[in-house]
Amino acid sequence: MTNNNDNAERRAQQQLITDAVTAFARRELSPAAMRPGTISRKRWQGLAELGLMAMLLPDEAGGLGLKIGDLVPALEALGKPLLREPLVASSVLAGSLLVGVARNAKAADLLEQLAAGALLAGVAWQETYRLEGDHIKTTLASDAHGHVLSGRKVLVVPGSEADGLLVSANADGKTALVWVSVDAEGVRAENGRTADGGAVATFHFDNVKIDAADILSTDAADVLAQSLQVATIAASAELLGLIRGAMDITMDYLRTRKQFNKTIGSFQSLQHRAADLFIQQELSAVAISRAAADFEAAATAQERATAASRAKARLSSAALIVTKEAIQMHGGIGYTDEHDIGLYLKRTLTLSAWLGNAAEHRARFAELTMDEAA
Amino acid sequence: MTVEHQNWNAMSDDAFRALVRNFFATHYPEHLRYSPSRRRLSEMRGWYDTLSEHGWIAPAWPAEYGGMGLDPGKLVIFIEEQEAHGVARVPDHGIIMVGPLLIQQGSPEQKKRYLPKILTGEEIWCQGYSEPNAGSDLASLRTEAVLDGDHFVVNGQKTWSTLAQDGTHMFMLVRTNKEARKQEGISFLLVDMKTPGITVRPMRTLSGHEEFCEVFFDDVRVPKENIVGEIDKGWGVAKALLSFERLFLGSPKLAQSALARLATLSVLTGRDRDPIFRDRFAALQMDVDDLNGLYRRFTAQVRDGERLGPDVSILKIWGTETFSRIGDLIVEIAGGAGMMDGPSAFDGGNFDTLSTFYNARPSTIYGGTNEIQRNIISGNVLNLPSA
Ligand SMILES: Cc1cc2nc3c(=O)[nH]c(=O)nc-3n(C[C@H](O)[C@H](O)[C@H](O)COP(=O)(O)OP(=O)(O)OC[C@H]3O[C@@H](n4cnc5c(N)ncnc54)[C@H](O)[C@@H]3O)c2cc1C
Repeated sequence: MTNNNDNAERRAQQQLITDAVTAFARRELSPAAMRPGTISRKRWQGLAELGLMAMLLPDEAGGLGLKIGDLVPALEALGKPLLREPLVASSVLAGSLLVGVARNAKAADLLEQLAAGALLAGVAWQETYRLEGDHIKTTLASDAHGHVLSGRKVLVVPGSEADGLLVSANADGKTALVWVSVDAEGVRAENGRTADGGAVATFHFDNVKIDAADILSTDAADVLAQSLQVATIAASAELLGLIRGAMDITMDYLRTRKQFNKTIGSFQSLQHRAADLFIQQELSAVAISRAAADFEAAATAQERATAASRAKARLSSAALIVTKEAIQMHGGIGYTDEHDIGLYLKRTLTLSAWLGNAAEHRARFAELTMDEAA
Repeated sequence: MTVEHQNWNAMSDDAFRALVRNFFATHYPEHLRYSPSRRRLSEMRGWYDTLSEHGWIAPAWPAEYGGMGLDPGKLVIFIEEQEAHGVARVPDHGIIMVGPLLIQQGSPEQKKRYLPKILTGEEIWCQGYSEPNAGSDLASLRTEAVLDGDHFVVNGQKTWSTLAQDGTHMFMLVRTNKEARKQEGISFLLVDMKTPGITVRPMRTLSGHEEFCEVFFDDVRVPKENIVGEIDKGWGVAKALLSFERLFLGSPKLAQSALARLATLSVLTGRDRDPIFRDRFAALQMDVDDLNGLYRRFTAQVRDGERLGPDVSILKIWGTETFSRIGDLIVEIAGGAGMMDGPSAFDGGNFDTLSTFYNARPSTIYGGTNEIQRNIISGNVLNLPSA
């Protein structure tokens, strides 16, 4: 059956990618590389050379034309040793948006730079700290003199380290997508740090003049929604990597740390909790596989949204459970900034809240799948 | 000190509450209110002095030693008002631990030498029990003190000593007899941190603050009279302190102030009207209320002169785990702001969404981990057989 052959071929291809990514991760990634908050352009370039920026891009745009399911194992492998670079924000999310509007010349150009690892883009879509912010208040106003962007966007990763921003805006009731350079006149950044030390900013757009060429789309609502779903599954995949990384470190600690002349892993109370964490890990792994498969097979926007929420609800919750317990099982040393386990907690705090936390995705899941109350 | 001693315990609860509330409102520095993390001595010095000058620095100490001598009911009011006003902790190891211990077990000379300077804040104490390889299994500690004439010579390392960088003195456990059984060769020692041979290395915590230290001892000479109780009998001395500590660690204040923060954030996010949130808030409110009830039960026991039993461990478990659940819910209702380090700007005010969550992490570890507390309950209260 061709289907089986396709599947086998696909798995083989996924394996190739994962092997390459794992080798890269072993070479380039480490807690020490995670600690400085700044992004390494060299590693970003390295990720591009692996083809990671281009995975989701269609063949004709120089990409690999892969699907979300192919991305999952790669992101998992990168998340496990801790990845500082905002691959999901600046490549998966930004890339999906650009692919969605690629008929636009500027978008095609940006896409090319992105695939080459020469572009670090931020996506400025969110206006409140809540996932449900349907109504876009940022406006793109056009008249005889040109186009002007006004408004405010929060939680934009990677803040002022971005070369430029893909900004969603309300243009006469439709969702426009525009490209804005971070140092354009009228753009003001309030810089902050995410829990894991990464760059993030609130951007204020105060009558920013936009070239017609930089308006990538005036009807991007569906593309934006779908790109956010892809990114949500991708972030979940990175969280699965964090779970696996934190589990490895913690189980090692339980096997080696001694108190009362015994390794602490021999205490049954800790053994049972370790078993519970293992359950969380395995639930997470199946949740994300199912979400990716559902997403690829989905016929409707609702099905895609459901798949994304399924993944993020489980992974955000499980990763927090695992990393909090990891700290507890380490005792005092787990609360120092000097031990690596804390980095897993902080990265988890960041990724689990970004693009909607577990509760927000459960609420969305309920909305999408349950009958309206009578 | 010219402190006019009042009979606070004779006041009605309402009158006492009003007095305390007014005191905090009048004297406590506005910029130090609702501090999300532990404050350093340099920031709290002024407040320490104020409390000290008014004779309010040691609310639980007996009046004859310069404390307020509050009974447990009044003490709870004091703590509640302190929390309601958002008063931060001063470095209080001397007030909470060494003081009560010396009052109970110190020699007359030690009381005279140390207690007054704790009250004035001239001397600030830190605790040196834990070592890299002696945490939960504290009795396996190896820092040793060898008698040499009229001094002990101390060598070894302590770790996780809270705010030791600000301490002028440390109370510590040292091994004075390597032959005896684990618990039986340990002594309780008071050490001046300026003694030659002591090195303090502050360490950063997850939340980025230098909150605890490693302390190294290299041939540190400590006068023999600085031992509390008898030589080799320090484990018993420390154990008496342990029930104070468990009572203190089980105090509802952490959970109570966290609940107040949760309420604030629920208003900022509009979640206060949401039935799902209200259900969870109500559950936590009752968890805190019953924690309060438990706490009062144990403090009453202390007031009546009864010894605290091993069941006091339930306070620490319930208090810190309630605190932790509140921290989780704060992060949850913060939504996207839960990914931010430091305060986020909500319409209506700034709010640090992770500080409670971070503070909750060590609370289930320090003062005997919650696993150890559970072992105590199952073994010493429920008398379940060991494996
Ligand atoms: C913020 C903070 C401040 C502190 N301040 C001080 C201070 O001022 N002075 C001081 O002396 N110490 C201080 N401590 C140290 C604290 O008391 C120890 O961290 C604590 O006793 C645990 O020891 P440990 O860190 O070595 O962990 P370990 O004992 O190594 O424990 C690791 C894990 O194993 C578990 N475990 C161990 N034994 C058992 C068992 N028998 N059954 C089940 N589980 C078990 C523990 O619960 C924990 O989860 C502080 C700690 C923190 C986090």
